[in-house]
Amino acid sequence: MATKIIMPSGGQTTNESLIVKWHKKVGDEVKRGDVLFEIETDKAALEVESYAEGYLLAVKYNEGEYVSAGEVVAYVGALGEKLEDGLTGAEAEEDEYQPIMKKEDATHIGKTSGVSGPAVTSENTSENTSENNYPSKILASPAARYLARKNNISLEDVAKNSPAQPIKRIDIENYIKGRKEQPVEEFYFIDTSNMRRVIARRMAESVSVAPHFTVTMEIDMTEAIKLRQILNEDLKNQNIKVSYNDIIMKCVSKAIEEHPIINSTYFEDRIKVYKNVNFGLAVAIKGGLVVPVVREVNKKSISGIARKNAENINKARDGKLQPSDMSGGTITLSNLGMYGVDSFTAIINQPESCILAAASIVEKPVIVGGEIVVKPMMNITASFDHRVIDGAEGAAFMKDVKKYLEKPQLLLM
Amino acid sequence: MAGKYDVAVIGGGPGGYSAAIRAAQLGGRVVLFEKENIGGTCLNVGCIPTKCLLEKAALIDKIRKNTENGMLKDAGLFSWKKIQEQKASVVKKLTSGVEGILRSYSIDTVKGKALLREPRTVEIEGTGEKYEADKIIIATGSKALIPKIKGAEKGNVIDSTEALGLKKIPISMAIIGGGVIGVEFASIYSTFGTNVTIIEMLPSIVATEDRDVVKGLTRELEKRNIRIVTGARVEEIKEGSGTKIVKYSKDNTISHIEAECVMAAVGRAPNLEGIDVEKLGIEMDSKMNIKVNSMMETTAKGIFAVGDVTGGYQLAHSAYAEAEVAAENCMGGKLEANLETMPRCIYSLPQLAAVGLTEDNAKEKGIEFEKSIFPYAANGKALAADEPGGFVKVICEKYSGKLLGVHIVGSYATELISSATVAINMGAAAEDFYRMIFPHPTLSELIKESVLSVKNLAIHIPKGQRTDK
Ligand SMILES: Cc1cc2nc3c(=O)[nH]c(=O)nc-3n(C[C@H](O)[C@H](O)[C@H](O)COP(=O)(O)OP(=O)(O)OC[C@H]3O[C@@H](n4cnc5c(N)ncnc54)[C@H](O)[C@@H]3O)c2cc1C
Repeated sequence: MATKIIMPSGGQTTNESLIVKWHKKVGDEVKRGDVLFEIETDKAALEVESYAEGYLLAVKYNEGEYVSAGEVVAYVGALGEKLEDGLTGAEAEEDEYQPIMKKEDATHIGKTSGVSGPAVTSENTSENTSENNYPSKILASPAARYLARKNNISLEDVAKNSPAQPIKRIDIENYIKGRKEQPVEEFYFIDTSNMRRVIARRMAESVSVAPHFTVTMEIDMTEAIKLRQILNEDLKNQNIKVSYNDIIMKCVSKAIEEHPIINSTYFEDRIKVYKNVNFGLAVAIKGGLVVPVVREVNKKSISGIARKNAENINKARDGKLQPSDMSGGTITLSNLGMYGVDSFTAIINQPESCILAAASIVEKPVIVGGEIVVKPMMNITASFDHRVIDGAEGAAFMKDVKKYLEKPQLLLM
Repeated sequence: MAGKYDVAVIGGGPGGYSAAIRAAQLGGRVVLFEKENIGGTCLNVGCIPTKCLLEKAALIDKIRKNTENGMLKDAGLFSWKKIQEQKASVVKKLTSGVEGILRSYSIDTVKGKALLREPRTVEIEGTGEKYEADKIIIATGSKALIPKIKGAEKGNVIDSTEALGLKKIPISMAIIGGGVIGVEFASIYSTFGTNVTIIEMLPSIVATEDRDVVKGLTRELEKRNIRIVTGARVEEIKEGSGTKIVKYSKDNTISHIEAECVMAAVGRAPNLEGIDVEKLGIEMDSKMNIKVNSMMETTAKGIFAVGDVTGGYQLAHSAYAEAEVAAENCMGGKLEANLETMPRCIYSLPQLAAVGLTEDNAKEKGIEFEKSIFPYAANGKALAADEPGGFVKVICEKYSGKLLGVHIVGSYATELISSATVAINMGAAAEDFYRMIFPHPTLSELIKESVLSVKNLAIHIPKGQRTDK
């Protein structure tokens, strides 16, 4: 019985893929794993391997045709076999007795037909194609392959030396040029992922449109630490763990009640002030950074904030954040405390007007009433957009942030 | 009121029937409720039928090997239908055997679904008959979980019960879950000619077992044409044309496997139909299994629970051990279950069996240990039987030589593990094996030699080859 070869689903935005090239002709012998044809999707070029063995019996679509995922593209089976529709379904009643050695015959390549093994196709979904986890399977356009072959260049070398896959003709040309011009390379390239490009563009934009100024406050975290312990003790059974970020967010949101202008966006003719505090949290992930948002922090309890932040962070690490999880922020928090940072400044996440940079909590000697005592201290640096917020306003806001973090009891007011 | 009893047992699986028998042996008047078949999962759709198929698979495998090496001229033909029929007759023999034993102890067996809503009364659904008992043992077992995957509905995905009774050997099969059940079915169907792929979410199959034996098992399974994809999460199951397409993600990459048949072996959930745990005040653990103490008591007075419904190992012999403790305690005893030296067996080709601590367990507990790995290839009987693949790994406490764990991958591993289980239960040290005599030639010598190997005293291995890599 012939096996149907099916168009794999290739792209994310379209369901159709273009057949670029057939590697086998009708009548050719096909082994499992042989490349049957190449397709181009909206994102990449892929080779489609045969999961059946036997002979290529018929081809339903030719080079240059678009085929939807799931469509039968070809049949592989024994020579002389009849083809009809509904092949896989129309199966003869099996003999009660079957040969013990059938399995062996079937796995000896090319002997019998109609054994369809699991078919495997891969498609890279990560934005960053250089993160392709199958370096042995290099994606390249047919033209690039041709040029590489003609010049005796291994695609692996090209891939190693930089370009994002699929490798295009221009990459091979650059590679050839580079090979001539640079006998000794003292650097290497990493290609930029989409994420990298987005970060680059947004950061450059932010510093060019928004004149930044920063205010740093040193904060005594004694009470915040206590609060966190108490909350976590109480939330033990609910599987929620409150982090300092959650507490900082709540305190900042409380301070914003008295300084609403902090939570705003600047336009030439007016300033848009948001009624709700939608707090973004900068989360580092492989290859970059994402900023998922906790909505309406002003209306949420600390445990509610904690739950949402934890969910966002997990989604971020699993690459599961949806665009909606990352939009609509009105202010952002970046916390590098875990790296032992004393203090740092962050770049405003446009079109917001303020970003807070929280550093490590460090035990420090401080003077209280003329005596030296050791206290857990943390620096928070706020960057403000000076178009909206002036120095005194920013400082007053930070004074309140400090107040709430040092006396979190005031949150109850 | 249909009757008054000392002990009422709900569920006729290994946990239920053994509890009923033990309670009767101790003089109790016992009633047992079973809604489907005596023998439960284990005899009807679990341990026993899988082992029937695996035994036949092992035989086919041997015939094939001997045909390839030329000893047999032809391999001959086999009938899947006959294999299924024989499986059914073994199940019948065993279940009616258990029924006979229950009768011999004058245990009243009631067919029907038991409803437990009040502490001392069991009601039968439909008829409304009521039975009163001083003590109640819940042994309602478990059922297969259908994974929460897009497109994984009944009909699209089969569970282990359906996989046992397939009318026809599929051409290809994708198994979601590389635990004990997944691996056993992979062995069954790959031997009968199916192209099998196991898709496992964790970084390895049977991840709770010792890394070395798991590695050994993985290698052997792959040699037998089973494809193993680990660290992969199944995202969706779609209809292909006459096939199913399993979409999974691994390291940021989405891949597809097309197979005629998709089986889910992602774990089992407790069977709580008919048991009003809330009303009775029976507490559940975080996985929604019935919580019990070491005496097998639930949080409701006079109500005990044993077997799969309490989570734990989810093994028939674990259910037996728990049931005996529960039955004795129902009859006035004060026993505690000791499940520490639970033997764990996988009846795949080759088999894996283990008892005691894995190397990682020992490290986590901060125990200083010594270990050895002793190959089947150094055992005369293994060679005579044409089964040189596999090894025994032993872990001993360093200062006392006490046996902490024995892990076997290879032929008859599941039979070999019992001598190690006895030794560990008795607190034996490596030294205790020095003058113990094991019959030659047997695979059982592997146990002695692997233990001696820890102290570099094994005879049948060249000096310095204690392979504790
Ligand atoms: C495919 C497979 C292979 C397995 N292989 C092995 C193996 O090799 N070795 C091993 O040790 N374990 C094996 N197991 C696990 C083993 O089958 C179980 O651990 C064992 O059956 C648990 O026994 P139990 O008595 O707790 O529950 P079960 O065997 O599930 O029995 C529970 C019984 O209770 C009945 N019941 C439920 N609710 C009610 C009610 N309200 N009223 C009346 N009756 C009710 C059910 O119908 C069922 O018969 C396997 C399981 C599967 C699925």
